[in-house]
Amino acid sequence: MSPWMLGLAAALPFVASLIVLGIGPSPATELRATAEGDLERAEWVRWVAIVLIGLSIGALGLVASHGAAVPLRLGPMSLSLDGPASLLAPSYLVAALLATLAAPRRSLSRATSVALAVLGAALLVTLAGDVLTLALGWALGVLVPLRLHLRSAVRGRRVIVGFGAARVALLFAGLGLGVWAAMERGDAAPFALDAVVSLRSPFAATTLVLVTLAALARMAVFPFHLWLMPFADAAPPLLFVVKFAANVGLVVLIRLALPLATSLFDEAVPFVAIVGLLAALHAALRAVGETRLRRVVALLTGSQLGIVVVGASALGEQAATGAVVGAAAVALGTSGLLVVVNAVEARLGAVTLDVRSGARGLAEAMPKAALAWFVVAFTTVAIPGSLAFVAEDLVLHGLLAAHPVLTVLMLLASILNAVTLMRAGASLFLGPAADAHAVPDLLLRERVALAVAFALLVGAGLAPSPAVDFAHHAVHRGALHPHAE
Amino acid sequence: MLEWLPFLAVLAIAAPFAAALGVGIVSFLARVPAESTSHRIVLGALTTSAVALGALAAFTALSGRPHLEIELGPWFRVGHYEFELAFLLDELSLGFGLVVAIVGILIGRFAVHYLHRESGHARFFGFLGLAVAGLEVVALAASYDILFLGWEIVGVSSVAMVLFFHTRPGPVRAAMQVLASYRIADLGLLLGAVVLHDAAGTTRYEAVFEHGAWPRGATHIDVSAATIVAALLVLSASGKSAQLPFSAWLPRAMEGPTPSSALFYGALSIHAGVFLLLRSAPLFEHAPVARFVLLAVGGATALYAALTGRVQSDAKGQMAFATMAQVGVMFVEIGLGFTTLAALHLVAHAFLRGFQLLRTPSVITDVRRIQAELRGRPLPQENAIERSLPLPVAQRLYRLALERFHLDSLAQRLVIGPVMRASGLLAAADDALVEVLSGGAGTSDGAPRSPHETSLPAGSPPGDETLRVGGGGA
Repeated sequence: MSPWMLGLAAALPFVASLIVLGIGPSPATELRATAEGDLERAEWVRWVAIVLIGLSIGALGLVASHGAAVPLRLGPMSLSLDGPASLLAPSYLVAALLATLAAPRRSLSRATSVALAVLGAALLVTLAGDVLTLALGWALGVLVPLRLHLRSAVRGRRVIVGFGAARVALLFAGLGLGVWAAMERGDAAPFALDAVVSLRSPFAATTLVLVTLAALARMAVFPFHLWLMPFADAAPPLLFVVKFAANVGLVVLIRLALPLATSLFDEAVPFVAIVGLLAALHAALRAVGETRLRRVVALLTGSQLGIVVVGASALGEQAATGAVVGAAAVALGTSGLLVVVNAVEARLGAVTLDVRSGARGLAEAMPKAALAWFVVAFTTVAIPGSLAFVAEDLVLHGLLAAHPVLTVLMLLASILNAVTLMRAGASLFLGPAADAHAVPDLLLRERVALAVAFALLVGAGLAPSPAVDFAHHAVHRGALHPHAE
Repeated sequence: MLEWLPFLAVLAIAAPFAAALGVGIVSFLARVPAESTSHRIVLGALTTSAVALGALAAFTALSGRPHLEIELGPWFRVGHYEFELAFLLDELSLGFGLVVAIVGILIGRFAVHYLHRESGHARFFGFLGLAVAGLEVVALAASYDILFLGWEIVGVSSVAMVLFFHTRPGPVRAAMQVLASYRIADLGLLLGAVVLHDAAGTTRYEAVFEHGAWPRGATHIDVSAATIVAALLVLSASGKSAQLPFSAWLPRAMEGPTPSSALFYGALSIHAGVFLLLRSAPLFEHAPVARFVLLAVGGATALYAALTGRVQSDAKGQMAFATMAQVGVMFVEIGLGFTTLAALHLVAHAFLRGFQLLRTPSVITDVRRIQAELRGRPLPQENAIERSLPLPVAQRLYRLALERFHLDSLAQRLVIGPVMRASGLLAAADDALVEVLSGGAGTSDGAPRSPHETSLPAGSPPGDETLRVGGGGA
């Protein structure tokens, strides 16, 4: 039963997407005054999505409780809940669930089906046991929202579409080359991920470069971050959360690029570490002066993911475990921050943090939103008692011996991120109340979503052993460090 | 009694933490608790903490065991690495812990009336509980790893207290400065702990400082590692205790309400750096270069703060610089090896400065009373040093002190300015590239840009066109 539950878990977001496509109100209502019938249907969209994502989480839980390693095989395609996927997949689902619960009602239209399908695609990539499933999930993640981007009036839609096409092409080329090399080697299962990541032929280096570039392009980090700006400006709230909280670029980097690099280099992987560090530093530096709130959060996510990549590249069990825990913390933290961003934008429209015109002083009208922002921000930047702190501690202890200089630079990125989050919060919530009149504070469902995110981030931070043990076993089952069993 | 010790140590920390968490959760999920509810919960928790610490102190004094370690087991573990939870009970930890609890109760009691009907009354008490919990962790920690937990919690609550009057621009700017200084300084403690792990295999004080209870003890790690760790700890302590080059934040942090200024910047948080150095004193015995750095930082700050404090025109500003100068002297005392003197100095200064800061709102009344007592005689003048200096030197020093030795402008020119400029350049480059890739100045299709084209979220509600089109890039 366990393998089929895995298939069910992966299929449920797609089922939800199809149902929402049928019952959701037209996206055009976003620009109209509220129509009672549409709002009712929007609530149906919310609850269908919540129930089906919740069932998907339950199915994954059942699979994990039955000994996670039994894969589901359908011809050459397979799904398995092992390695880092066992922590990342549930984190992505929980992040999406919380964002759906808190999503502004007017944003819940038929277009929500795109976000749910992208979530399903992210699950496919995360759970993929073979190249075909991974490629399918990867392509769906780009192709499903394509129509939405093309119809968008945003400047830079061509950049979003172009970078999407590029990352599909890069991954397909990399995987194709890997499969071809595995066939040449006479591998019995050339489509299995294990076959590709164990390559040692001259093609392996090319595969590594192509796959790494594709992953970086998906993570929207330097030098492939250009699509992030128009996307952050234009994406509907739920799609934005799913794209950045469930960042499958990291999954590809951890599941493909790092093991491939391990088989090419004997010790730590300076190539991947430097790539991660550049991403972390560039995004942190870029975010500190950014004035658009959505972009700030997207850039910060990129920076935090860069730090996770640096940790994973140390290839020791401590740092690798820290990286997996950190990736889960980034997913939940990003979701929490974006819930607040979406709540503010639902009330005030798109928000800029113009330091010249001073702070907005929203804390007067939205004290709970202000509290939520600062609490989630501090848990995101690794305050003790948060899951991110545990991750950072493990990464630091595992990394310093391998890359002392990179560690110090990584911490600089972390400092900049803290300043950025604080600055964004200050610009938004603090200072004299400017446009605080008649702005309602967080609704109960928004508060519940944030309370759950906070409880997970802090609860797992105060009692981290279950999450750390889980990640540690996941690392051992995967191939994240050279001594993996 | 021994079996009760872990419970009492945990209670001393958990009681204020739980109170703070309770106030926060109720405020978020329901409504802000009534004044009487919030202060009773937090002050009750602080009293519980003080009683638990008193019992621990009594036990260690009566049992003749001046040095006792309590192990609670690993917090989490990966392979051979364990984050162990353990507390150290000795005269330094219990002394500082009791000072924290008592001062916390006194200032909390003062704030009950002082902040009556302030909108942030419950918030103050929530963060008071959090700060005391963090400081108790700093005090009772048996390793640098655990100390770091409390260190960060104190930092967060300190920033939150600066933001108490969050509708004024001044506190917001001040909080940003405090946060940035703290984060840079925290880097020192974090890296110091990790280097210590590498050099000694642990950060437990008992293992790092062998051969005797504090302040005795010696370290077996090699001189270069000891020097690196000690220098990093000086960096961290300097940030937390507002020593050079991080001094600029302290006068700004006085933007918070008087009880929070007294708690953080007069009595407790400002001394956390001194406590860290006191705890690490055996390390400095083994690292002469770091010791010299400590003496230089403390001495230079004491001189800077003494000079700058003399030209301050407000009571809290004067207090801030006086505190800075005294803490600088404590740094010097530790650098010279007078650890017991520094510990006594810390305790006396914490109570005195806390009291003085609580009196600052009544300073005019105090001056009137003194004048009445003097019955028309002039106030005693204390400018003997100024009079002994040549006039050009005095004038130059006066101008420098007024400008606070240009620390703010140096930070702006050397750190903040370049970072913001680099960020702006990157943003401009990104925007230009997106523009080019989108087909130039027109729309992505090359047509003139339509008035409906926007770079803001599709889900933005209508009716706020100024926001929609006035977004502006970075």
